[in-house]
Amino acid sequence: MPTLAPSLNNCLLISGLMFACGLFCVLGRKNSVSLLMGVELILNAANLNLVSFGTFLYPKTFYHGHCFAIFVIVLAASETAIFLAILLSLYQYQEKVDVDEVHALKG
Amino acid sequence: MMEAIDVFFWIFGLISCGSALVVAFSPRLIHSVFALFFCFFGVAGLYAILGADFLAAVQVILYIGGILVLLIFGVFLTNRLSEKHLPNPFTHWKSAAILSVLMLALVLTFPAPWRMTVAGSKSNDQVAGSSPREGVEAQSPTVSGRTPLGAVPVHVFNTTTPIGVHLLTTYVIAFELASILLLVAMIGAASIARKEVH
Repeated sequence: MPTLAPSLNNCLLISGLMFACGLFCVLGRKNSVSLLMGVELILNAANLNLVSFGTFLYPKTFYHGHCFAIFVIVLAASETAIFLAILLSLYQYQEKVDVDEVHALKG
Repeated sequence: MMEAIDVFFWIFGLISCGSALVVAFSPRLIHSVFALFFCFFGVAGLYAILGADFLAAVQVILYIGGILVLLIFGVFLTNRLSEKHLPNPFTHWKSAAILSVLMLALVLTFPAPWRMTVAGSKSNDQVAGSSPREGVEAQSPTVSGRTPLGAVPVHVFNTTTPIGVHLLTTYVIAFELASILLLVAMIGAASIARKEVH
């Protein structure tokens, strides 16, 4: 029976919706910054999953999920920095950051 | 009967999901970025409701204070601002929508073991006890009168102490690797983004 309380299934529902939005952002957007935003949405959904699994399935040792979430946040931060550096040099190089326009490396 | 924590849970959940939808479907880039702000904020609220106070603070400081500012930088530095609206067009949006909806359906209907346990509270300690980690006690500290899976366990202590202890003991190798990764990312970003010197 579905409950309205903050349960594991409800958390998974919210994070699943966020994941689907992020996936659409990654697959269906033209701008690279929008693509990066989709990746951030997916990582946030994964983080929410980690925290809710830790909280609801392992109430004694929930902080392991928090530690994993912290590592994911570290990865997201460094990924954003690198992505923006690549984006800036790409913009200096060809004045466009749309993913359809970047085909200089295509074989 | 909705208690206050349920109301706040769904408010933050709606903020997160609604702004995630705006991020995905807004026709203007700058609207997407500012919707992402609300999405991060809603996730921080969900962390706080789930008892992750340290992660909620980290979410606000790092995501909103750091990553979002970087994203706004990226938007403003890679667009001609003389165009008024900064349009954000779609590409392959039909196949992307189909794939996203399929993935959402798959995620929501995946027959995972934790889904079976939600109906009754009896099988909860079966699943948790069969894990390699230490078994969950049958009566974990929960809000009174609810099943263990249907309620947020009440942590009466803060989570910063166990996180700090475990980061520096159990996960110390991953911690050091993450610090090396951050250093490499910083140097790499600086060297990629600098101007070419002839």
